[in-house]
Amino acid sequence: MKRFGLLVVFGILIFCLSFLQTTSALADIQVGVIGSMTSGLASLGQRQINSAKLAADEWNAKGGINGQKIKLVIEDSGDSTTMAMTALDRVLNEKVCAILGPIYSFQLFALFPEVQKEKIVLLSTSGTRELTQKGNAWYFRLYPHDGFIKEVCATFAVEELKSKRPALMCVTTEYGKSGHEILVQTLKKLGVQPVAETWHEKSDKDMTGQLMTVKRANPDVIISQAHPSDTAQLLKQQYDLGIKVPHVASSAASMPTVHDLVGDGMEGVYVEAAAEPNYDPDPAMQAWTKRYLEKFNTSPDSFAVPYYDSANFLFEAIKAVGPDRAKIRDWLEKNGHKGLAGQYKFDAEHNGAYFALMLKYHMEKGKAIPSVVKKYDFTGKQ
Amino acid sequence: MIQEIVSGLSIGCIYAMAGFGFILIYNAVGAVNFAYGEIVMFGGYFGYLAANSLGLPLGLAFMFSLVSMAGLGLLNNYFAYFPMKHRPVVTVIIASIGMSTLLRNGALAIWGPDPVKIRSFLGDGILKLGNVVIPRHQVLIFVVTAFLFAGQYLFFSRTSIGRKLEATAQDQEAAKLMGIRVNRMIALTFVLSALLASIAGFLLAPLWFLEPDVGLYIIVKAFIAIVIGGFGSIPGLMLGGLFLGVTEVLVASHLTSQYKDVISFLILITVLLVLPQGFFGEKIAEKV
Repeated sequence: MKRFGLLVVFGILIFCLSFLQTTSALADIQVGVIGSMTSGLASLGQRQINSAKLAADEWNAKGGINGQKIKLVIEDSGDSTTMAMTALDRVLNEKVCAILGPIYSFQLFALFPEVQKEKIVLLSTSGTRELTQKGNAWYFRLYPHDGFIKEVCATFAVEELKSKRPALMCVTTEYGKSGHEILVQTLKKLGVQPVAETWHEKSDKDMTGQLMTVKRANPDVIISQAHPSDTAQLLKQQYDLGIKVPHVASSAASMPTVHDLVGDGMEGVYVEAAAEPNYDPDPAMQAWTKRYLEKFNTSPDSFAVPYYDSANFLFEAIKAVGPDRAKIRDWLEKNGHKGLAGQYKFDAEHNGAYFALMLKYHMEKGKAIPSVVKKYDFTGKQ
Repeated sequence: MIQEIVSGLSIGCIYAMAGFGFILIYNAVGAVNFAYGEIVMFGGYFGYLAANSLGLPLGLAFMFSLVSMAGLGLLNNYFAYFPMKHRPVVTVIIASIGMSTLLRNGALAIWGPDPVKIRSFLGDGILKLGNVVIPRHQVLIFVVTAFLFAGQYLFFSRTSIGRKLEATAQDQEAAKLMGIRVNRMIALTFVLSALLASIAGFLLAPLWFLEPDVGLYIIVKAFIAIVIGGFGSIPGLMLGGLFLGVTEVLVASHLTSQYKDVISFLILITVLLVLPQGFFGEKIAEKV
């Protein structure tokens, strides 16, 4: 009898605790964050997750959204589509109202069917052009897409650097292929034909073969589209092989990590980027970079800024319409957001960023220092 | 063309260097150690820890890496091989895959996802020989690889401990009957293998950079070089590594960069069809 009494008390206690937990979960606004926290892709993923954490912490410090705290449900997408889909299942199980997604397009493509089925907003900062051409009404992009930014690179090479013989060096991922296609199309429009086109794997450690192909073609500019580690290899080995041709690199070359690896090879390199958090003189950007550095003990990269803006844009949407999936989507479609990197406004395809910087690096006491050589802003003109 | 061949030989030296320790363990215990790529990676990371994080001079950082790797080699022996030594070979292989995952994720947890590098003993300078440019560090790699190649031969053929290791590798039972302490010899093999990994990791870090996934790339390339050269053969590994390195660079430069790896693997398959035993080794079928 005594044991039965204890069981009853224990049962009531469990019931009360679970009720408290449910009440507490209901009190928070749950937002999913999916990004690479492990594998070689974590270099970008971890900084983005940091940005989401920083944005959520800042909102929560000010009382959250309409009195409700923001709770991020963070899951690791690793380096595979399988892990990304598992991460999606996990965040969906937590009844999130929207998701900040991974940067890698091959993972995003894999998430699309489930996202459409669940009717939940997915925001990301991926550049791959095709992402917003799949007719997914729930996907939003807050990063200048390749159709825009690669056009900027090709136009910059031809109009500013007066290139007539560009060479293209691209990675064989979706990102590389998408960028390559747009570079070729834009150059064609400008009446220029690439004199060499080379490909490499993301994990390649030696680019001598590709660079010798380029050298034999005698180009006047190299335009590359690659991820951080292979971008570093391309730039360093170009420098080592003494191929003295201006290099217009993709945004990975704006990462401080890449600068450390390339060293003196960063001298004179042009890089497209959505933002430059470490050297942008804008006081708001400087203050943000300081906060980021203090909190995570690592410098933000150019991708971290749009991700932070994405999180803030999403929280504003939730503040305006509540944690209702369809209403969040509708609000995002109709409204803009003034972020740290620039003004965001979605077009019909849900591309929200139409601004870019062209940076030029020079070496100063062993450090790669960027200066903005041209700003592009087509917000509202697309 | 000369530039491509020189660069290819340099890459081939790295493949060979990364395979020396792998073959050592294979010859000693007959097991394929799939964690070896990560062990090489740790050799580099220990050097990075000492040189970049602790600020030690490169020479001391190298010593730090050697000592740390000797410890890691022992741990690898006691945890990933020794408890499994009487089990089927496949169990040992699976244990090595487990060790590989553990080391990869360990590196990610300790050093993070960003690629890092160690500076070279010879700096970032370039040597110019006519139209051919060679980073000084690649010259160091040529020299060290040649030294390791000759050193291994002399160690196993001219020293008492080397002969004991060789005897253990050839027949553990017979070695035991001859009074050789087999378990100690196997532990020593794991330590030697880890020391070779330390050298390889320290030397490839300035060129290939260190990141948690680099071990996989290392083991795949070293494995192909080993298979082409002949499983278990050190001269075969050297030749296989150089052949693979030069082939890759020439294919990427003169045929197609997009299908460079496809062609490299086709060459591998062709070599195996024509020479199933590789250049110097036994038939693969007999080993599998």
